[in-house]
Order: sequence, then C-alpha cells, then structure tokens
Amino acid sequence: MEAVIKAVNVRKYFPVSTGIFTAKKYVRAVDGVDLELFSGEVLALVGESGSGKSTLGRILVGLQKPDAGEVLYRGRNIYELNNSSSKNIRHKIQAVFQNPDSSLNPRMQIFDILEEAILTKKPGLSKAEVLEEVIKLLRVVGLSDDHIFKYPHELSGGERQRIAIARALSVEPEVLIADEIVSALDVSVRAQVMNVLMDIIEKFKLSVVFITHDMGLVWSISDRVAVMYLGRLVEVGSTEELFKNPLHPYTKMLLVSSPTASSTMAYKDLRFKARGEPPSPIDPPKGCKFITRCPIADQQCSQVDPQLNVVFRDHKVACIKVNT
Amino acid sequence: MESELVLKKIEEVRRKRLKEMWEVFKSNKSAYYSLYVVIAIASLILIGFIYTPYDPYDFDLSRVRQPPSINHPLGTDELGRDILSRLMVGGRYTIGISVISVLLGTLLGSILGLISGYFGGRLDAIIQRFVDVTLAFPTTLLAIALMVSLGPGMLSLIAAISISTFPVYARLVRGAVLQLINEDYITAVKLLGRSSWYIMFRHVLPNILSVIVVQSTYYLGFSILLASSLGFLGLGIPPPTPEWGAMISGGRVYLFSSPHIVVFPGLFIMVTALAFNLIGDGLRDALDPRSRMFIRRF
Amino acid sequence: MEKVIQIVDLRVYYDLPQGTVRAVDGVDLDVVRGEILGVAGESGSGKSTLALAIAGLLRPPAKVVSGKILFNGVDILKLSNDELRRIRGSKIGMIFQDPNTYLNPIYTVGFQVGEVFEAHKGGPLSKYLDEVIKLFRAVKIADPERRVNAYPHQMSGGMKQRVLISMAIAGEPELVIADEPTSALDVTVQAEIVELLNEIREKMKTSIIFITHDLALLVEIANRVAIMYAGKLVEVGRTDEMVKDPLHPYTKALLSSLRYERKKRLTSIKGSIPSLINPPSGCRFHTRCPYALPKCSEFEPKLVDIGGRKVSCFLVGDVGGGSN
Repeated sequence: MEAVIKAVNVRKYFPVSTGIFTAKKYVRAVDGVDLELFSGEVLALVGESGSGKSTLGRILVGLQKPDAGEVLYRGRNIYELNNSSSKNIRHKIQAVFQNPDSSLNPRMQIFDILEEAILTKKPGLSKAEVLEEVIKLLRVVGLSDDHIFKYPHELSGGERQRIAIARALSVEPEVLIADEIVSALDVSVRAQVMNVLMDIIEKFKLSVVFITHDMGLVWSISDRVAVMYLGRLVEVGSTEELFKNPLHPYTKMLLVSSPTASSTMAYKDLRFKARGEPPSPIDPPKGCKFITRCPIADQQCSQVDPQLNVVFRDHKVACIKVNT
Repeated sequence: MESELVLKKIEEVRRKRLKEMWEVFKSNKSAYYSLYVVIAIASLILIGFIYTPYDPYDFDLSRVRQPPSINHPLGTDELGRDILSRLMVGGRYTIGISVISVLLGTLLGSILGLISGYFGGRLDAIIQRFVDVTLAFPTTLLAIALMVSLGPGMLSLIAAISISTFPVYARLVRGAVLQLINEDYITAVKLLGRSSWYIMFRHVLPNILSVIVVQSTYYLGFSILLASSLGFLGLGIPPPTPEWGAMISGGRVYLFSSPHIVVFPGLFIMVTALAFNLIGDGLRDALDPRSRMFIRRF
Repeated sequence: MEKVIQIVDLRVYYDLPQGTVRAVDGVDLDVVRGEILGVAGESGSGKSTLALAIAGLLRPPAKVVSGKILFNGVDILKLSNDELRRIRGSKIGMIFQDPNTYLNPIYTVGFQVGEVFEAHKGGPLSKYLDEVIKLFRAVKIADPERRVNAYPHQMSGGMKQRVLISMAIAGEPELVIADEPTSALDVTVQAEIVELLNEIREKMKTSIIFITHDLALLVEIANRVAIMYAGKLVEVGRTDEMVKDPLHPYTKALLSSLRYERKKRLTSIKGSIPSLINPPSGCRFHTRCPYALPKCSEFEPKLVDIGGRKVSCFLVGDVGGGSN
C-alpha cells in the first residue's frame, strides 16, 4: 500500500531561555518520529499534553518546518517545493483545529469564509458559481443553506467546527489532519461532528491523521493507532490489535485510565493504573523516558533507550520488556 | 437557483451588521452628542472657507479687546480682530494639522506594528528598538525639539506631531497582532496558500481596526492639544495665522482684563478634544464584535 | 440515610441586558451522607450555577429567586456573610476546574493552604506547617516537606489540583463540591485524582458532589447521578441502575453517545443546547427529543419518583400536565 504521507526521522526542538550564561536548553517536542499514513486510512495519533502530537500534526500539515528529517507527500519533500507545485500540494494536505471559537474570522459571514477558500483553488469562478459550491459544501457537512448569511458568533461550537471542515474540504484535499477537533465540544455535539467526519472520509476517500487523547474516539474511527510519549512513538499498530493486545506500559495505562475506553475492553489490567507524572521535557531521564511511571521498569530500563521494534506484522513497540 | 436574490441578501446582512454597530454607537449618549459637536465645529470651519463675518486678519486698533457684543458675538482680540472669524479660519490649521498628523502617524505606526508583529524575528527586534528609543522621549518635549530644529511652519508641525505619535501605534498594533496570529482562522488561511501580505490586510487588519480607530480618536484629541500648545509656545505656524493655540498666546497678557480673548479659543480646543475622546469611547464599544456578545458559562 | 444537603425548588436567575437567564429553574436534589453524587450536564445546563449556589458563591447579576438549600437542616441561603464564611472551608470545601486561576502565583502553595487553617482556627500561619505537610502527604504530593515552599508555576497541573484538593479538605469538611475538577487535566492524571477523591471519601466519610460534563467519568465513580438539562433536572438515580436502564430520552441519548462502536456512526442528538433566556415551552428537551408527544411542547413534566429513580418525562409514568 502506498504511503500518502511519510515522515522520516522528524525532529523539532524548541529552545527554552534559561539565562544569559547557562547553556541553551531545549524542549524536545518531536524527538525522532517515523510515521506513515496510507491512502484511505484513518491513523489515530494519541498522547497527552507534552507528547508532541500537536507539534507533529503541524509538521505533517506543512506549518512547522522540522529541525531534522523530512515529510514526504507521495515521495516529495513538502518543505522543499518550488513555487509552482507548492500551492497544489499545499491544498492536498489540510487541517482542522481544536478551538471552535477561533476557527472562523468573526468579521466574515460564512459565505465569505467559504468563498475565500474556494477561490484559492478555482480563482476564475463567477459569484454565482461560487455560491453553488458553497451550498454544496454546506450540504456535505450537514448544514442548511441559510447558514451562508450568518456570522460565526451566531453559530454553535459544533456548527463552527463543521464550517471549518467545509473550508478544508473546499480545496479538495487528499489528507486531513484533525487536531482534537471535538475535544472542546459538548458530548451531544461531538457525535454530530464525528459523523460528518466519517461521512466525508468515505465520500472523498480522505486519508486522515486523527489527533486525540480520547481512546473511545480512537476505537470508533481509526484503522491504526500511533501512541506518542514525550516526543517519541512508543507503540504503533492496527486499532483492533492494539486494543485487544496493548503492549507498551503507557498504552496500557492510557486504556485503563480512559473512561470511554472501558466499554471497549474485556478487562482492565490494574497493574497499569495511572501513576506518576510525566518527567520534565527539558531534562528527560536517561534510558527509557517512561521509567518514572512504569510499573514494570527495572535497572536495565534506565540504561537502554528503546527503539520502535516490530513485534508482529505491523504492530511495533518501543519497550525492552516486550519480546520482539 | 435564485442566486441573484441570495447574493443580494448577503449584502443586506452585511449592511445590517454595520447598522447594528451604528446603533450601539448611538446608544452611548456622550459619544453620540459629541459627534454632533464635531459636526457643528467642522461646519463652522467649512463655512469659514467661503464666508466669515469679518476678515480675520484685518486689525483695527480702535476696536481692540471688545467684549462679546451683537457686532462681534465673541468679541475682538488684542489687535481688534473679530474672534469668531479668527476661530473659523484658525480651525483649519489646528484641526487640519491634527487630523493629517494623526493620519500619518497612524499609517506609519500601524504598518510598522503589523510587520513587526506578523513577521517577528530580527525585523521585529529592530523595529521595536527604534520604537523604544522614540518612546523614551516625552512626547511634548520631542515635539518641541523637532519644531525647533525643523523651523516653524505647517509641514514641520505635521512632522513633529506624526513622529511623536507613531510609536504608540507601533506598540499597540504589534500587541494586537501578536494576540491574533495564534487564532486558528489565521492558520487556516495560511494553509490555503495565501500570501502573508494578503493575510495581514484581509484578516489581521480588520480585526485590529477597532484598536487603531479608537486610539486615533484619542490621539486626535491629544494632537489638538499638542498643536495648540506648540502654537501657544510660538513654535507653530507664525502669526498672524489664527491657529487656536497662537490665539491664546496672543491674548495671554490680557487674561484678567479681557478674558474672552483667551477663553473662547481655549473652550474650542477643549470641547473639540473632549468630543473626539468621547467619540473614541463610543467607537470602541461599537466596533468590537466580541463586546457585543455575552460569553458566559452557566 | 442521612441527608447532608437538601435542595428544595431552587431557582437562580441572572439579570442580563439581553434578558433573564434562568440558569437553575426549579431544582430539587438531595445529597446523602458519604456518597459521591455526580451532577452531569453539558454547557448551558446550569450545573456550574448550582455548584456556586450550594457554596454560597453567587454574585450579582445572579439572584436566588426562590428555594432553599438545607445543609444539615439549616438554610444556607439565609445565612449572613459571616456565618457562611465559617461554614465555607470548614464544613463545605470546594474544588474548582482550573488550578491556575485558583492559586495565587505570588505565594507559595504551603502559604495558601496554611491560610485555610489560619482563617478557621486563628493565626499565626506558621504554626500550621506540620499540618500542611501532613495534608500534602494525604493528597499524595511527593516530597511534601520541600513542596510546601514551592510556587504554583513550579508544579504540574495534576500537582496543583492536589493542592486545591488539600485546601478543600483542610477543614475536614462534611461536604466537598467539585466543579469540573479534572476537566483541564490529562486522562491519566484525571484517573489518579479521581482515585484520590474516592479515598478521601472513604477515610473522611465526606460526601462529594462531582459536577462534570463527562458522563463517562461519573459512570465510573459516582454512586448516584443527577442529569441536568437547560436549568432543570431530568433524571436522578443510582448510577448502575441508570446505565443499565435509562428512563429519560436525554439520558438515553447521552449514554448512547458514549457507546463507541467500531466504525459505526455515533448516536447524535439533533439540534443544539437551548437558550436559557428563551427556553423551549413545555418540556425543555422536546425540541430535540425523538419521542416527543404533542403535549410535550405545552406542558412541563414534573420530577416524579419511580421506584427510587426520579424522572421528569411524560413518557415515563403518568405525570399530570402542569403548565409553565
């Protein structure tokens, strides 16, 4: 299967100012990530705060140039494009973000917001043709025609997110990065937006990176899962495999702690109850970064920095305690 | 598809929103009445271009320092000139200079602030240091120093006031831009492939416009005071031009014997400056869409 | 079973320029000693207002229009400010959502917790150092002797929340009101905090009112749950019974929207949260209810007791029509 997006050894470090005389310190937001997004799949990128998942999302969509490594769209490095191809490829990878209050320009009517997007792809359209496209887009996300007259503050959070999705769709993307798109919405509205997402994935054959911390949503929508901890991938595998047989202690901890994952699991291994706090991202411990919270860590773990190794087919884990 | 009708309605809704803003402005009584005051004063000045009761430069030593009367509603000054006529003509200078200066200062400062805030990095640092240096001087002193070095005249006055006012805009606009660039809709437009300049002028600027406009109205008030202060100090336009501040300066000696010479120009300066400030308050509430929405969690 | 709190027909309205917001519009609710009562509701349900009312923290434009809140038999709505202050902090403790806004950044956390003792047992603050350390240990803050001198910005989100919890339990209260205590935290940290609260309840026999929008969380920890919608209570009952057999259509919808099934559409509720200024006529939920009858738009159902469960719905039990 072809990888639509391929991230190769991507790194992004953010400098932290600690003083004029002390050495420069860095937060290793993304610390060597290899990731593939296959055509037509939904890949869930899971992690908590400090995992680097949002930074990785921004790197994948072309907003944040990595300090090292490359991001390839169908073989081409998206950060090294000449001007003529860059707009086309830029349209192929779009994103929707978390905050419904800032996703739309408060001074623009919905029609204007969508018109602007449509015109970047098809600048020659007449006003009437644009209107047609706008109505079509609204239908796709399940909103009625009269939304075109409204201003963002007249819409609910869920509706605003749906407009943001419509805007992303207007340039006919192949890849969509959805960064916590329903986390800020009420539960009853979440389902509306998730259903719209599922519809468009099917209808437009999108490949999606679904960034979230909600394991229930992961179970519901994704084909594969990549779990991130402190800038690294610690486990990658197909969703069913990962939920049935989680291997990395952090994955187990996430599943045990998630109220929405409870219904999906046969039993809870309470050895992996949540404990401890993530260590400082500026001064991570030597060896395995999860050592401060891991119930099965030992001496060896503090000396070896585990790599992502294949366990079974496409199920990979970065943990020396798991037989690979 | 009745697309014509739909497109028309979109325009209607847009106009309705502007009307709503006007209603909010109107509801602020002080701002609303101040607008009338400004219109009245502006009318007076405009009329002055085609007609004044007397020639403002015609002095007659036999009519000096006459208190207000039917012939001279505001009296005559220390050289026998009609004060009302002088105010009507002088307003061109006092207010005209203020308006032009503020316009220039706003333009320069806003663009600097926009570039500074949006692009950041080295450019931002350079611009900000430059702004810091200019801000370090007390505004009035800076204006005086500039006037002294540039020599008297209208152009110098405009230059002095613009230079004194642009740094604040640069700071203000930069701050507003910094707050805005993290908004997701800005990121979304970047993803659409639009250029930085497009984003700055189509998305960032309209959302910080209220900040700029409100600051301008305050600065209009301030620059009227500054222009007239410079005129009072003799650093503005040379006599006999009836700039309002110069009028006060001329009548200073007679403050207690014929106060009307000083009081009327002073009143006009004060009222105009105050009116602009109050309009600024009204505009602030009217222009900011978020202040009209009540966001609260229950 | 002894009742710590008895809320009788509470109505709290906000007088705003755009109209009167009926945030809490006739709520009857009891809290039994030693239980965790969950109050679930989405935004605009009135649950936060309810929390503030019980804690006596309502400020204008909020107004208690009618009703009583009996704490051990005493109507705390009628108490003077001084009497309220004596109860707050010693008999009733509060934990809020965002530890960043509830901790003063310029004082050490030890000082701020010490203030609780000083307020209720008299000064000076310094004599309570040992008690504060003991409290920190009780809320599982590692290295408590050192941590009492830490400033809020030196602590992680989870640790700050533990500090807030320690402040809430410092006076060994009979009741703790927790308003979205874990919503700003990562899911693994949330799991630990929730476990901590459970321990506190067992050891100190404290009753807890746990207010949140996360129904999945309440399913895990609450003994009983009260569901709020648009200022009214729609269902109250034992958690396990309600999950197995929800009676109110809103409860049913909420619970099914939590049911994540592999690659299936999520159950959504059509429409959006109604305005509290102009709530729908009759039953507030009728505009979104899939089972709505004609009379649902005209009459408001009352909260009736059906075998231990309280529901307000015409479809459940024969409730006579009462108008608005």
